[in-house]
Amino acid sequence: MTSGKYLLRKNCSKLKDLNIFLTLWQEKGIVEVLLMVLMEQAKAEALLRKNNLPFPKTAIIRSEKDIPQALKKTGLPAVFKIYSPQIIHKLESGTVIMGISNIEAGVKAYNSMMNTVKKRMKKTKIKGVLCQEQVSGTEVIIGMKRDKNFGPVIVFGAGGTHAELLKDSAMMISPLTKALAEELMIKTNIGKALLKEGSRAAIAFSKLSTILIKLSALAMSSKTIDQIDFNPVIILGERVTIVDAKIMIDEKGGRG
Amino acid sequence: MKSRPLDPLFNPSSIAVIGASRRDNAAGHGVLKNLVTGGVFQTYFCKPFKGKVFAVNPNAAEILGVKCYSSVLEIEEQVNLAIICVPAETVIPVLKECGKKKVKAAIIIAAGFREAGQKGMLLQKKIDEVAKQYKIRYLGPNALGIIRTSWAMNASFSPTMPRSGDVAFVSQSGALADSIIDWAVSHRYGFSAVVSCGNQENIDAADLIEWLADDEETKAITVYLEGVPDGQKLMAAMKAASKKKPIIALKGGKSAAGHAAAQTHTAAIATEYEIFKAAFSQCNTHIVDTVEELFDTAKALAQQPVCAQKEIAIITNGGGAGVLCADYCHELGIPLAMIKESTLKKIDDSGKMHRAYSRRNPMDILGDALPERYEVAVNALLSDPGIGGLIVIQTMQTMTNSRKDAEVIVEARKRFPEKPIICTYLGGMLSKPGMDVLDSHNIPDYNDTRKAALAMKALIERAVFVKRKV
Repeated sequence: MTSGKYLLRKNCSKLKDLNIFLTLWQEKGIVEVLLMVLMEQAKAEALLRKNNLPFPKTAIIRSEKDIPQALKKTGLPAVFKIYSPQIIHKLESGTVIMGISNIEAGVKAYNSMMNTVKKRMKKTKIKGVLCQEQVSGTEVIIGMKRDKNFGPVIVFGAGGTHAELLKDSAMMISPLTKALAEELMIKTNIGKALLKEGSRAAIAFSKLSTILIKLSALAMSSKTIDQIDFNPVIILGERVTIVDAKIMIDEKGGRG
Repeated sequence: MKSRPLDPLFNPSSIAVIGASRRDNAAGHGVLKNLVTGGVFQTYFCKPFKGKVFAVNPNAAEILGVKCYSSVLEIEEQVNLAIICVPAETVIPVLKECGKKKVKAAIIIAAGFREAGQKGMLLQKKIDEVAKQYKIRYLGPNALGIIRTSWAMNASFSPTMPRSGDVAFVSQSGALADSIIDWAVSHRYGFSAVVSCGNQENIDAADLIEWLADDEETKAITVYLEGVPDGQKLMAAMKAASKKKPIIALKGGKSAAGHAAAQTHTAAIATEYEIFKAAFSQCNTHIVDTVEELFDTAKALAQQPVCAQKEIAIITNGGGAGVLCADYCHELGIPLAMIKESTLKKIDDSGKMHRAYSRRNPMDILGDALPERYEVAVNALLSDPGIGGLIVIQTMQTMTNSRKDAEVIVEARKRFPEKPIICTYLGGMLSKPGMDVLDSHNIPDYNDTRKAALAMKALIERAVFVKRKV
C-alpha cells in the first residue's frame, strides 16, 4: 500500500474527472479516502444528484463567522471534520467532532479544531472545517470491488464499523438491473427486514436499489476505481444518505 | 443440429494417439490401452472405442495390436481428434503436423507449460500460435482427457470407464476426476461425459458447458473449478446452459487467503470464494460444498422433475429417521406442508393404516408398515395439491419388504410424473434389493436423510431458477 499522499498526487486529475473531491485519512496504516462535497459545491452537488447519490447536507466553514450559516444549512445536530485536500494524519481526537447541537457548541468545536491544527499540523494546508448534518438510523453498506475474474462486484449488507463481522451481506456481479439489485438486497436479513417495515421503508428500498445500480454503472465505466465503500449508508424512514464513502484507486490505472 | 467446433472432441469417429508407447507406465500407453480396451483396469463398463484408433510412434511397428505410423501425416484416413502424449518440449512440432493433417481437435496431456515458469510460458505462447494458424481447438495442457460413455470412448489416462449415465462432469483437476471415476464404478454412478479441462488455455470450462448444454445424452452438468480464464464468458455459458438443464458447481480454493489486509469493508466481505458463489447463483447454477454432494445433487436434478410447490412431505416407518429428516429440512429452509384433513381422511378410510400412525408431517406409518401402507400414504400425499414433493424413508424392520416398498415408489413415479420423489433407504445389505429396484428405475436413493433433504432443496431451487428471468 502506497502512502495516501502519493495516491492523491498521482490520481488527483482522474478523481477530478469524476468530480469527486477527496480528503485523505490515515488510520492504523490504512489509507482512507473520504468522499466529500467541497469547493465547487454547486457543481459537485449537481453531479451527485445526476448520479442519484444522496449525501448529507454539507457546508464549509472558513472562519468562525460562517458557523451560524453552515449550521442553518445542515441542520442540527451536526458533525465537524477538518478539511484539507492534502491532509494525511492519524485519526486523532480533535479532527472529528460529533453531536454539535447549537451555535455555541459549533464555535467551541471550531476553535478547538483550529488549535489542533496549529499544534500538530503546521505544514498542512487547511481549507477549513467541513460541517455535515449528523444522520442516524439503520446502517447498511453498499460497496464495489473490482474482481480479476468477474469484473465489478457489488456488495450490499448490514453496515457500520463492523460490517464484515456482521456476516449479513450478499453480492452480485455487475451490471445490475433493478430486478437483480432487489434480489441482492432480499438475500440479506437487513434487506428482508427493511421490506417488512412498511411503505416508507419500501421507498427507501427502492432508493437503495437505485444507488446499487448507479454504483454498478459507475464501476463499469471506470477503470481506475478499484474498491468503493459507501459505509454507512443510513436509512431513516424513506430517507437514504451515504454518510461516508471510501474510494480506492488502482495506482496502475485499472486492471483492464 | 448443425456441427459445432467441439464436436470432434466429444464425438470423434477417428482418434490418433501421438506418442503411443510400449512402456506400460507411460501416458502414451495408458491412453492407447484405454481406447482399445475401455480401461487399463478392466471393469464391467469397459468396452473398446467404437470408432477408429491410430497410433503414432516412429520407433514401433505395432502397439497393443494397433499399427503404428511414424507421423500423423502418414495416416491415410481422416483423423478427428489427436491425443498428444509426447513431453511438453515436443508438443509444438506434433501440433503443427496435426494442423497440416487438418485435425480439428486435440488433447494435450503433458504438463510443464504456464505452470512451469518462463520456459513453459514461452512454449504455451508458441502452442497458441500454431493452434490459431491451423484453427485447432485443444483441451489442456495438463489435461486428463475426455470420456464419452455412449461412444465407449476413454480418450484419457483415467484408470477405467464409468457406467453410462446422464450426468456430465467437467473437472479442472484431472486427478480428482480419476478418483471420481473409480468411485463411480463401485457406486454404479453413470456419466454421459467426463472432461478434464486442465490449464484451460484454449478450450475452457465455459466452452465445455456450452457444448454439453445441447448434448442429448446429458441431463445435468457438474463442474469442479478452481479458477477461470474469463469469468464473464463462464457466466454467459452458465446462464445459457441453465435454461436447458441444471448445472451444479463445486469451487475449490475456498480457504485461499484473500488480501491479507483488505483495504475496504467491501473487499473484506467479497472474498474470492464468495464472489464465485455469487456469480454461480446469478447464473442459475447450484452450489455444493463437497464432491459427494456434487453427484448426489446432480443425480436428483437429472432424474427428477423440479419441485414446483416448495412445501414437501416426509413418509417414514421409523420415528427417529423422520425427526432427523424434518430437522434437516428446517435447517435447509424446506417447509414441510400442513397435510389437509381431506388427505388424512383418505388415508384413514383406506383401512390399511395402524390407528397410531402419526397423522401429520413427517408421516410416521410405523415400524410394522407393509408395502400397502406405503402405497396408501404415498398416493394420498402426492395427490394433495399442497404438497410439491415427497421424501420416503424406509428403515429396516423384521417385516419390512424392501423390494416391494421400492416397487410402490416406482408405480407412484409413473402416476405422478410432475412431482419429485426422493428415497432414503436406510441400512445396507438387507435393504439392497429395494435400493437396486430404485436404482434401475432412476429414482434417487440416499443412505442418509440429510442427503435426501439436500437433493430436495436443489429441486426446489431448480424450480426457482427455471422461472427466473436473468
